[in-house]
Parts: sequence; structure tokens; C-alpha cells
Amino acid sequence: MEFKDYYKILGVDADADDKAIKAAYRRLARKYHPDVSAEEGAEDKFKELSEAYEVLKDTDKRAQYDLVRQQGGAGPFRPPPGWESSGGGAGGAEFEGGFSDFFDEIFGQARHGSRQGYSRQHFARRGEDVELTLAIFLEDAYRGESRTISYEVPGFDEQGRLLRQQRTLKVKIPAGVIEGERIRLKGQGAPGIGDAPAGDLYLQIRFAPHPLYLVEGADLTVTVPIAPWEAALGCKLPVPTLDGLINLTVPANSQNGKRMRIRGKGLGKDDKRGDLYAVLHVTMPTTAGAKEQALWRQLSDESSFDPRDNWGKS
Amino acid sequence: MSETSYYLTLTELTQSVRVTTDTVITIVDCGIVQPRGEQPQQWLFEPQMVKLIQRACRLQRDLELDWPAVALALDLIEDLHKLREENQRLRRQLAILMELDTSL
Repeated sequence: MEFKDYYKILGVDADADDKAIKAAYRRLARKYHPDVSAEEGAEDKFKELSEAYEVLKDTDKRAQYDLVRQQGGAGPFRPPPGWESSGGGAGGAEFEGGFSDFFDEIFGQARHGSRQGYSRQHFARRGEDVELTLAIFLEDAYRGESRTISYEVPGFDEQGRLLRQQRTLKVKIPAGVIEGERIRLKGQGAPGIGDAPAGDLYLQIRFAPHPLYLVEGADLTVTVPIAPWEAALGCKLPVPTLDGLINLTVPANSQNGKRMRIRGKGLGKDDKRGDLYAVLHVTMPTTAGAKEQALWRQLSDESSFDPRDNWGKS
Repeated sequence: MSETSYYLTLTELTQSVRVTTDTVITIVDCGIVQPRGEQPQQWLFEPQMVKLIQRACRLQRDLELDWPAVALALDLIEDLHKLREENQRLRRQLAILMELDTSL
């Protein structure tokens, strides 16, 4: 088992006082807290930090740890002969992932198992909530399809041993869900212990990238390439929506980048129903035949349009 | 077919997140979440709020923050998240436009 140098983890000296330990922990915790940090491996780093702090902030635990540290220091940690961890017995398993084996070896599992105050006399505990990410297609989100999902829940067998159970569930995705939305399936999480109820299952919706649409909350954006003459003269264009094609009327003299709203063709539902935006992208032909070129030239001669009018003239 | 149930009551919430009613009331008082309903016993929480409350509790415990500071941190995290998403979206939009320009 690997020896953990808690002082090194917190970046403090072995004779650091409580104040220095607290300050070091707080500084590093802000940096690596998984809810705050975008750094890679932040979660592991934070777990290490909180384990180190859990020991060093507590006078008894720190003294116990210092003893181990003096005896073993570097190299793999082996508990000294006759060493018995002070907790003993299997406490409640923590699904969030408890502390390291090294910690358990010194302080026993029950110590941190009891942090959450489980009473072992009449052990009943609501099952864990289970959270899954469900990647779906925009089309399915729009219509509300049903999907079959498989997942694992932690449970216990009759001897109280931890095991994983496979679950399969058919779920109706509510029409109009948006990215990041959480769907709750009551009682479909991990089974409860004793008489306690089961936890819930949460499905967090993620959209698979769509070749046509960009998604912003309940609104969708589609880029519509159009020819310069279509933008100049105006036209009616078939535009794909999640509901099928609709005819979009492009007014004459439309600018490149013009955003046109197609009401109610987004995601969401009821009063939160989003819209579809069609953004015009005037696209030039890359080649022009002699006749086309002549027409452009004619336009050039006829037109008084100066796109650089506001540059000022010297 | 499994039915989805939308709102959580205060009791369901406290069981799910393992927080006390008092903590939830403090969290609501700080404006971290705004449940439907007037009185705590009528409160209804959206599934989204469960995650936010879990996050609030972790920050409060792990960083030893007081609740108004937790509220501030969560607001800033949310802003950061939105900016990152917007940035990503704009990048994608830009990529689409550039592709349209070069593919012809």
C-alpha cells in the first residue's frame, strides 16, 4: 500500500500549526474543488486534499498519523506488527468513494463511515440517487420518443455485501426537452437499505451534435446559404425544421447574416417554447461563365452602391 | 414504461440530498433556488434544483463557506458555464461559416 504524505499533499511543513494547515487546505480546495475547477484530475486531487485535511485538522488523528509516518516514511506502507485499525468492522460503504486504503488501514473504515451519522442499530437508509447522461437526437427531443436504457445500481445482497445490479428501463422522453434538463424517475435509483425507500434515477439530457441546427436553450439556429441574386431580389425558400420543410420568405435586399425568426419551431414546451432562427449566408458562386460575367459587369456599371461608403474619402 | 415525475417535495428533497429542512430553508432564503409554492410544506423543487442544492452543500462543507458566499460562487459558476457554452456555440457557428466559404 502506498504511503501518503499528507503534509506534502497540503504543501505544509510537518510542524505546521492548525492555522497554517487550515489556510493551505482552503487555498488548495478552492483551486481543485470539482464544482469549481476545470482542471484535469481536479476531483482526484481534491479527494487527496480532503483526506489529508481530515487527518491533519484533528489532533488525535494527526498524532496517530505522525507515528505511522515516523515509522514508515518513504516506501510502501506496511502496518507495524500488531497494528489494529481503531475503527474495525465494515461501516456503510460510501458510493461517493471514500478515502484511500491507506487511510482505512490507519483509521479504520467505520470512522469515516460514521461521518454521515448512520445508526447501525436499526440500519435503514434511503437508496442512492443514480445519475445518467442520456445522449439523444434533436429530432427525438422535439417529438418525445421512448428510449430503453440500461444502467447499474449499487445494492446489497442478503449478507450485506455490496454488489451491482443491472437494470433496464423503458423511458418516455418528454417532448420538448432541452439540453441539460434533468428527468427524474422516482424510485428507480439504488434500492434502499432496511425499510427505507429507493433512490431516484436522474437522466441528464445531452444532444448529439446536429449537422444542421445549433442549439441555444430552446432556440435553434439554421444557416441558410443563398445566392446573391436571391438576397437581392427576395425569394421563397424551403427551410428544414424539426417538423419538416416550411417556406421561408426572404425579403428583397436582405443582408448577409440576416436572422429571421420562425416562431414556435424550437424546443421547449408551452410558454417556454423556443423559436427557429434562419440565418442567411450569402454565398458567391466560385466560377462564372462568360455570360454570367457579362451580367455581373453590367450590374457593376449600373449600380451606384458603394459598400465602403463610410470609410471616408481622402 | 416508466413514468417521469417532475417536482420533488421538501421531504423528498431532504431524503434525496440528505440535508436538513433548516439547511434547505437557508438555501432558499439565499436565493440559490426558488421552489414553487409559498410555505416550505408546499414547496415544489424542479429536478434541476436537486443538483444545485447538492453542489451548494458540497461547496459550503468543503470550502467552509457561509451561505451567501455559496450563493455568490454558484452565480459565478453559472455565468462561467454560460460563457463557455456560448463560446463553444460561436466557435461551431464560425466553423460552419468557414466551411461554407471553403467548400464551394
